[in-house]
Amino acid sequence: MKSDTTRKYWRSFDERNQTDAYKAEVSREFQDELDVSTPEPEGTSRRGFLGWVGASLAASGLAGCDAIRRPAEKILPYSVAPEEILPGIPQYYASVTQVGGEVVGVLVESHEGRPTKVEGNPLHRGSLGALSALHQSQVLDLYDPQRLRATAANGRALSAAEARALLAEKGAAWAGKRVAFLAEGVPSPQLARLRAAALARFAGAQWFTYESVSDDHQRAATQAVFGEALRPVYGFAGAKTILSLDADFLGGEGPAVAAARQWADTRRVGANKDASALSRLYAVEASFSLTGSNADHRVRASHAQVEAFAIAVAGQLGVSAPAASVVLEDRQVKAAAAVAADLRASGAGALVLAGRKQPPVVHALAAAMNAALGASVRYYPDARRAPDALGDMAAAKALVAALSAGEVDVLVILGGNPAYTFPADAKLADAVKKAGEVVYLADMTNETTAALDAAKAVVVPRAHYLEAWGDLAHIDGQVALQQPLIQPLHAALSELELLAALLGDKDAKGYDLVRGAWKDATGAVGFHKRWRRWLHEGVVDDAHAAFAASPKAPSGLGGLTATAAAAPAADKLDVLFVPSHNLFDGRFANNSWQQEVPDPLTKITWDNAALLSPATAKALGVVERPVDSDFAVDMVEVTLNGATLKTAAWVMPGLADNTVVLTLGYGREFKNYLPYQEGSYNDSTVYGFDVGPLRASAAPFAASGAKVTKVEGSYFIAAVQRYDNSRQHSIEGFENMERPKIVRETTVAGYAENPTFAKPGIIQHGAPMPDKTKFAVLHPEAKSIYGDFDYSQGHQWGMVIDLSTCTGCNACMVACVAENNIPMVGKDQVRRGREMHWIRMDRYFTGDDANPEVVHQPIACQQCETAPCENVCPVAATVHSPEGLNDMVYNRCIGTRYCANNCPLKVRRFNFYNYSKGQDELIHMQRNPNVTVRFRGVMEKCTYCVQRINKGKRNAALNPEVKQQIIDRITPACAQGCPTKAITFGDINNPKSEVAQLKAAALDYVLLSELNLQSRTSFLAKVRNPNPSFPG
Amino acid sequence: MSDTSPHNKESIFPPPFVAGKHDFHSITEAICGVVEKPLNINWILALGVAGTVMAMLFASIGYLFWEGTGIWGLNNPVGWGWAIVNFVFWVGIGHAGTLISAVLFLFRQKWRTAINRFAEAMTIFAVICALVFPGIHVGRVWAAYWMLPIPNQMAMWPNFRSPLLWDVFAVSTYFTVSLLFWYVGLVPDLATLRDRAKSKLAFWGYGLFSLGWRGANRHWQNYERAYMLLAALATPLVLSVHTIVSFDFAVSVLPGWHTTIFPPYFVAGAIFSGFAMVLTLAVPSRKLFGLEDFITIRHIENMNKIILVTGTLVGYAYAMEFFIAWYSGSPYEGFAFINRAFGPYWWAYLAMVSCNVISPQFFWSKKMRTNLTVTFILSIFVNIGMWFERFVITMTLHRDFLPSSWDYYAPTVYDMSTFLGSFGLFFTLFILFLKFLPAVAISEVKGVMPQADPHWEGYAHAHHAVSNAVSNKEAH
Repeated sequence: MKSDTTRKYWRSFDERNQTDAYKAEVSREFQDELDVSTPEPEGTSRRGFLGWVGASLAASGLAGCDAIRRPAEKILPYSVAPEEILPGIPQYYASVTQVGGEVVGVLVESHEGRPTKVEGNPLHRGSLGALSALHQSQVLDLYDPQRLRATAANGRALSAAEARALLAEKGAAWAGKRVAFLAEGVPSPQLARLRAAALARFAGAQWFTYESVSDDHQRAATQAVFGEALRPVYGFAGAKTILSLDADFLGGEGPAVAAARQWADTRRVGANKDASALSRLYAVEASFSLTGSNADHRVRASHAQVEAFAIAVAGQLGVSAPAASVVLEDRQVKAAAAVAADLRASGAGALVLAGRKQPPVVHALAAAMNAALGASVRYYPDARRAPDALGDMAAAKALVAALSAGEVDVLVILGGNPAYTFPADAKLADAVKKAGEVVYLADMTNETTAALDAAKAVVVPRAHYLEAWGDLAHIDGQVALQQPLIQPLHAALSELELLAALLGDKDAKGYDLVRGAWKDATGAVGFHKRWRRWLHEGVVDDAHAAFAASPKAPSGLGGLTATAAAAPAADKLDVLFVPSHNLFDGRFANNSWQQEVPDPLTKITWDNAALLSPATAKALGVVERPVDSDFAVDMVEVTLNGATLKTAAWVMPGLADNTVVLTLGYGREFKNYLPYQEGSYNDSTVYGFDVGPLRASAAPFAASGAKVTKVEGSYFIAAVQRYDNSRQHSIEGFENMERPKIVRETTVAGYAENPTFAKPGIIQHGAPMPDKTKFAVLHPEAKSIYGDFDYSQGHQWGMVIDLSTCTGCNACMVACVAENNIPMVGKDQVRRGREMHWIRMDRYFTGDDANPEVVHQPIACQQCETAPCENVCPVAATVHSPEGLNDMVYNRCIGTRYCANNCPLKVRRFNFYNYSKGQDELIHMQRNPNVTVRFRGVMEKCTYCVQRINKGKRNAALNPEVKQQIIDRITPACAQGCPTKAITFGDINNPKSEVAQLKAAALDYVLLSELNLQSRTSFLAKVRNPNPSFPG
Repeated sequence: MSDTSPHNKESIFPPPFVAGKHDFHSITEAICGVVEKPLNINWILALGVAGTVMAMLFASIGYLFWEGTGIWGLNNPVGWGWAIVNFVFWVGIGHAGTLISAVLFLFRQKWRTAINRFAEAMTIFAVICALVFPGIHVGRVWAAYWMLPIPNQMAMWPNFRSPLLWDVFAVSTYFTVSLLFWYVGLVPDLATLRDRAKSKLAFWGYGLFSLGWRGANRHWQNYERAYMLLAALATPLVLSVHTIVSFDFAVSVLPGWHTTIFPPYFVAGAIFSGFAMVLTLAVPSRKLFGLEDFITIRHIENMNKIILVTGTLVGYAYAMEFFIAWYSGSPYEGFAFINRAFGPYWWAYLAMVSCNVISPQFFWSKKMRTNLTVTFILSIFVNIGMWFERFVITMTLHRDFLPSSWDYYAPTVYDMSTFLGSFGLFFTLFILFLKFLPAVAISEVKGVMPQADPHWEGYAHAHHAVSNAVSNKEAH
């Protein structure tokens, strides 16, 4: 989409048509929202006077031009006083969002009325102050130029008010008609209220809730063993031994942001001398999940063997279990025994988690084992759907059946993209044409809008969560209020407003709906104050909202029996469908941040591929590793139950053999404009492969009996860790060239024995460096030939990254993108090695191909004190600051790229092109005004978020009484966004700071210390906690 | 050919510097004749081809300026690609001219006179080609002049610690001195052309640049002194310019770049490639322009000897790099060199070693040294090999410390068109030079002829004549 500077944006037809009422409204000099009463300093200084002049100008400008699009209702900021908007001073408001029903409270940074970045709300139990990459990326969706602009009905474009009126009219006419609703699994109390109202209003109406990434099995299991559908919340706090049965609790299953934090808290060694209290994580899985990559012992098992493993462990824990239908391999039997013993020894400190891919019986076994062990698991009702609602897959099938049978007169689709996400045997695209009438609340044109019969459909733009009022309940019932920060950019409605309009209230504002309902629910007495506090804090008092945990005991396995399954074989492969870590169920397909952030394990960007284990790939004749110059990978054809899919193949170590892992969410068109996304390597903007045609409602996550064959053709994959497909790669025959270890790791026992093993001069676990590599000994007296700076004064910034708690989830990468206006370059440019992420997530495999261990290592600029980049720049565009930062001066940079060449960590990023060229102006609104948008030809890199440092220093200077507290709270975007708090930032000159204490820790080490870089970023070596009696 | 010379192969005396029956007049006629003959269709065709290729260079540069450095194959670990390879390649070629002119002049190597003009012109044009690249390879070309120490109101100076800045000084100094040296040497010959000019334009053109040269005794004295001083000035530059170019790599921290052997190794390589390029140009031109009597087999053979010496030096450097990589015990260094030879760019390494180390070994044989075809082919090989040497060195970037950032560099069509186009620029300049300036230094060649010896007409023995020829040149 080329930019169009003459394009006008309007928020209402009144505005566009400049009606008299509108003119009267805007001609008032001081509108309600704007309070320009800047406190005047003593006496009117020249500066003060100019300030007044500026403010007056700004106000008069505002009266006419909608520069600030704050919602009309009173909203409250979280921590910064709301009475003024000072240009350049962002404000923060609390709100809440969800992806796939997983709720996190957020704090939204707003610059002059534009929300630019979201951070976690520490008071929200789903966030604990952090966000996942997906939640971070949602802010970009707000400004997606492809969003629908107006309601489309009968070939007309309607304003929001007209759409409401039309919907109210329609709702009134639907009496007696057979109405069906299709909603996403959004755990909103208000949506539930309106759902009930709608079902009451339209007699016989059906309400279907569908999420493609479904928890059907968990629901089925809890229904069976507890008599009601419940969701478990695991108490990681005191956990000693955790068994994950295919549960990716770190990678997005359940409340993953909070779970990652709580789990990481049991894994943090930091400056502690004793690591024996660390929890231990076992993961049993067929695919390779983020959780598996963080496990102390990852037991590779086929999909069915996971169940057999659960049965084996359960049996040894005294839980009555059915007989398994597949046999375990010898190593798995031994592993199960070791795991069971460990779990038993941990007692109440044990936790067993079952994954959503696993059949209900595994969930039931997990519940029974947790009950038997006395594990800390609480069960809460599932707020994402009505208690008696059908499961996701059943709902999809039932809806399509009803549509096909002509039993639906009116279909209301509240968000989502069902034509894409529905299972293959519930084809909405065909059936939906049989509905008499369709109302679809959509983000943008998609597979579903394409399937609709335009004459019978009303497509309403859906408001982004930052544009609409609402509320969302966390898994444990904690409710947070969804506070908008901006008036809808387009004529959009929220789910609540659309439902309210259908119910006849055509003037219903989201604000009134939400506030009114909470007022009704909690009483008028003191409500105003309460409401203000809830908005301010972002969460509703638990007394009014939280669910009561049900301390239920499971009744055996609820009659669930072992799944009939056979071991996969070369001609009958297992197929696993996993949600994409980046695009989830496909809803982020138009989000360039999520497209370009690499998958945590495959490191593929912009695509998905069929993942195969090395042995399976070899058997199929699929090339294990792309050759150097040619990144085209082989294509395979997967045939499952008569459906076929041609897809690229990618060899992934650690997968179960004879298993093909397919990632959901791809094969959709990327509709946004990136100036250099098309190149010689890709001529399509459809990235990846839609695996939906293979996905049946009966087997939405795991199917067996597939046939995979290598077929003609190849496909270009843009992966960011090239030549590293299977392991830390080197030239054949020279793999053992002894390099100082980049990632240093030990075990709990190893740490007790030799706590300083990671220190410079020692390159291998436990063993001192051999003499022949003496060069690597960092001499403490080593100096820069140019003389050292005096670092004893002022603030000296530093960072410590804890490899024990970093899960590799990418949240830091996306937080950095949002904060620092990092351009997305597109698949073609990533293929050419020009991705721009300032912080990258290095992933190394160790051990054998079949079942390797993984380490994740975030690498950004290390801010070396003797930075090799600085002395080689001919124009002094990268220079050292007195606070130890390696400053990049964009204005001065002429782009020789010498600094990037000389950077030993290759963290510098060059703007080979003007990557922001021609982008829609809406995208510009996301940009952080405190960070320069870099032009082509300029080098850039991590700055430690120098804009945040300077903001903190300025605030500290303005508030001397809390100076130290403000300085201590300076946090770069990556550290702020890290769900596990693996990144610690601060002033290393202050011995009391956390970062200074961590730098003194025994585990602290600096990368490439043998180069005498004296990096300001250091790492805490990874401490694994393997079970000494685990069978090798 | 030596058979046609008065001295046969058995002679203990070296063959004369000018073959054939030439006197002062015939030399003037032969050399000026090239310039004065009417435009010949072959020359026009050659210029047309070279000019078209040069146009491709400027078109590529135009597109580069329009779109950005991304049109090249560069990526994150490999921040320097063909542009820098080409820069070092052309600077290297630009070495032979000054070496032949200045160093051999100071060492009284009289055989240089036939080829020095030629070689100096080549130097100037090669350095022009080289200078194209540092200017265009930066991301923001419109700010490239910030590399120059231009006083400004911000008191913002370049970073004097940066080898790139040293490079700016080294190469621009070298270019300036080489140009002056070339021009000073041209002055007497320009005057000759002026005096023979038949058209007004030629008269004024050559007249303007011959600075009023009349061949007076005082002129010759000043000229000789100036020439000697410039030669003395230029000689250290031969060593310094490529030493400093090598600092671009050697001052970095990267394995495979951070080595102290680079300065001598680069200088040897530069002389090597420079002589190869002189031969590549001289072998066909002497034929085309009938200059066989001046650029004789003896010249060719001498240059081949230098190629043999410098090629072997370069080979020694390659071996020593490997030895030090192992001896240092640095795993990064060791890996970098193993990766060079056996990594994804093994073919470039193989091309480099076979062209630069193996192919010059043929010149141990006199038969090979004096065979024009072999000389021409081997000189091309050396040119290719030396380009690959720079490619191999630059590509060391693709795998350094952290394997996670390793990548592969492949050139794009614009890398290639820019490189090819630089040959267009070079040959366009060279073809123009051959037509409009005396390709052989007339006055200097006359000075090394037996006739230049005052004792020539039978007063002394032949060996006497030869050894005294140049020292007595002042007499003319």
